[in-house]
Amino acid sequence: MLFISGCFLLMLCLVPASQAQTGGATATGTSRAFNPAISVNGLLLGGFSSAEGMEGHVEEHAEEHDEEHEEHGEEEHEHDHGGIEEGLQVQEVEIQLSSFVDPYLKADLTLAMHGSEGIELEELRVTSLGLPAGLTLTVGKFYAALGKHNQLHTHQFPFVKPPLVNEHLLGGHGLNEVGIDVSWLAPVSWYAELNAQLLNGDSELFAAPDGTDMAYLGHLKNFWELGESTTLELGGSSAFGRNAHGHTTQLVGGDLTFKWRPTRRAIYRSLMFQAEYLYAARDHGDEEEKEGGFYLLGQYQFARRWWLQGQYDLFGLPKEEEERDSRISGLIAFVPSEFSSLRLQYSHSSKEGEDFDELFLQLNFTIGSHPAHRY
Amino acid sequence: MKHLHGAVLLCLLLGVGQVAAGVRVVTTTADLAAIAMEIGGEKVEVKSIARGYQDPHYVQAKPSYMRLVNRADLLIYTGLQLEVGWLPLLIEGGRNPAIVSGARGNLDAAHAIEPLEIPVGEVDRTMGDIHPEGNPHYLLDPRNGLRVAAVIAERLQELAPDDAEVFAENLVRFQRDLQGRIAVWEQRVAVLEKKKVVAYHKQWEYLVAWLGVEIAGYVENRPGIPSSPRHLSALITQMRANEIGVIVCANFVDPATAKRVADKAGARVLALPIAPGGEKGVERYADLFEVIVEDLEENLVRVESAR
Repeated sequence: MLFISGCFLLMLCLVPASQAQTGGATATGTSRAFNPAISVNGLLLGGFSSAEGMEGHVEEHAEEHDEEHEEHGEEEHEHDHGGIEEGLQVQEVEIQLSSFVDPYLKADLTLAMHGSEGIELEELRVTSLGLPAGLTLTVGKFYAALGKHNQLHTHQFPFVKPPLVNEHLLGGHGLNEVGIDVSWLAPVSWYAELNAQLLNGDSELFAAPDGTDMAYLGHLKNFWELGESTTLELGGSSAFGRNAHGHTTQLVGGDLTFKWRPTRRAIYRSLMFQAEYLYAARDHGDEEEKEGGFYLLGQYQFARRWWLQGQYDLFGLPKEEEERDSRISGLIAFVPSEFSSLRLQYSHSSKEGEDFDELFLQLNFTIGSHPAHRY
Repeated sequence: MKHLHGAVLLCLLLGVGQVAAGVRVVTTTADLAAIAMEIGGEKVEVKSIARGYQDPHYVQAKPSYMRLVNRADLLIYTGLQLEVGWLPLLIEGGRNPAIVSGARGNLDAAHAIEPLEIPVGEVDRTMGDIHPEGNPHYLLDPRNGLRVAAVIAERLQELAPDDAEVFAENLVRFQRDLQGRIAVWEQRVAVLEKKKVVAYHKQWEYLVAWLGVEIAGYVENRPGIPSSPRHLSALITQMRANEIGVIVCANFVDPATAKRVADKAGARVLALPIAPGGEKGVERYADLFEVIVEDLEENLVRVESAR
């Protein structure tokens, strides 16, 4: 007892000293030192479309799926296809909190508000620290490691909307599921990362009627430095699981990214080229739906604060030409600092033989803790 | 035997067969690498992520660097949030328990020095790229190089106790050599005391504090943020009025803006390396100051006396 109270006294003496160092102590005794790092991303959007109204397009889409959903008594996904409307809108606000839990775990939380109301858990990653053999274990809710674009948060999208192929196959908010991820850094002479994921199967693609049915995903990412200034990434993904019809949906994807950025004058010029292909085979029992598509993306930074981008999207392979969707987009971005950007985008789309144009102006900002930039 | 062959072949294929010489050290910047090489000698294998001619603020978190971090026994970084935009991702992606924060293989070199310019009062992003813990360019004062060398030696001794004597000897040799040179440099640049320069970025505070040179203004009025024309024209007026003849900038900065200001103010731009490897012939940590001292002497003393 004496020992315990002695320890307690000792702790009392020690605590103020350590708090004085971190500067996190307050008069109430509640320390800020262990608060998570917090950052907020906001996307403000102005949009115009020559089509009947973008909202119309979204609804049209939702209806197609509605039949399916009703058949199987499934809830309709609220923000099905990104929820982009005409006029001015708050496209999305994301709140990110990040902290070490203890010496063994790190937690990253992303809350998202699409539009100006409603809040949803976009990501919750609890990641292991210090597992041996190049292994990392993540549990929670996350964007599945399916190719490149699916792993991006909305504010990281190269264009205002996701690529057609992602939107059609994975939905406007991507393949995002509760699951377990095992990631392994292979001990080879180049960077090779293998992800094996077990997903709960709640998404449109893998909405199995039986709750215990899971979806399985594998992803391999290879990365090489071609030289000091250029890099090449080659990735492949595959996933399968039971769909709402009780049969199997299979996904296959491949991605290629080339980047150039001079080492000496790194902030003035850069170039990026990316191509990604996704394909889904959905067995509905009586028929099998096979659809795929790709996008080609180019980004060129021509001055310290200016970027030009172009993208070509195609969805509907291997269907007939009339049944395909395509889109060509151009974007110019003014990036005053790491923490804000103003982007003007024009897109020309062709959907089942009907053409329409879209124009977007988007303001992207980040406040709070300094984010590290993924490569 | 057959099994052994198989294992060897597998190792060759996987590239895991390479046996490293002693402690594998990865540093974020080239100045730290140069010091670690001198202290570690043949007992260490040192790799730097940033090159000497690269702006350490803007290194890209390439996955290939994660591999480096993954295989490191010791990670040495500048700290004071210099690497905040990329190092956290490399540590996370490196999955190496030996070098994570708090491990013995994790060395924040800033703990060895007294930081300058710790902001007083409130800090926010209207001030540009502010480092709330102080200015991170401390290795541009060679006296800080002495201190950082000591903590590197100490840590290497902990990690490889068998070679402790070698590290101690190397440290003594490094410090003696550098101290000797510092004394010579200080004599040479005594004439620079109180001389005024304009700097491009808040890169040179430690250097000028050592040399006694004054920074009268900055081309960037807020760190990391391009300057407004109004600021530049005020700077030109100020440079003319005070007869400031030199704008100092790091050699990875696009000198166009600095040149425009210099031309109008009748000054010249002095592009200096900030780390070993930053310029041809600058390999060791001491070489860096040989070049910097020579260039400052040349541009601040000889040019002015020629006027």
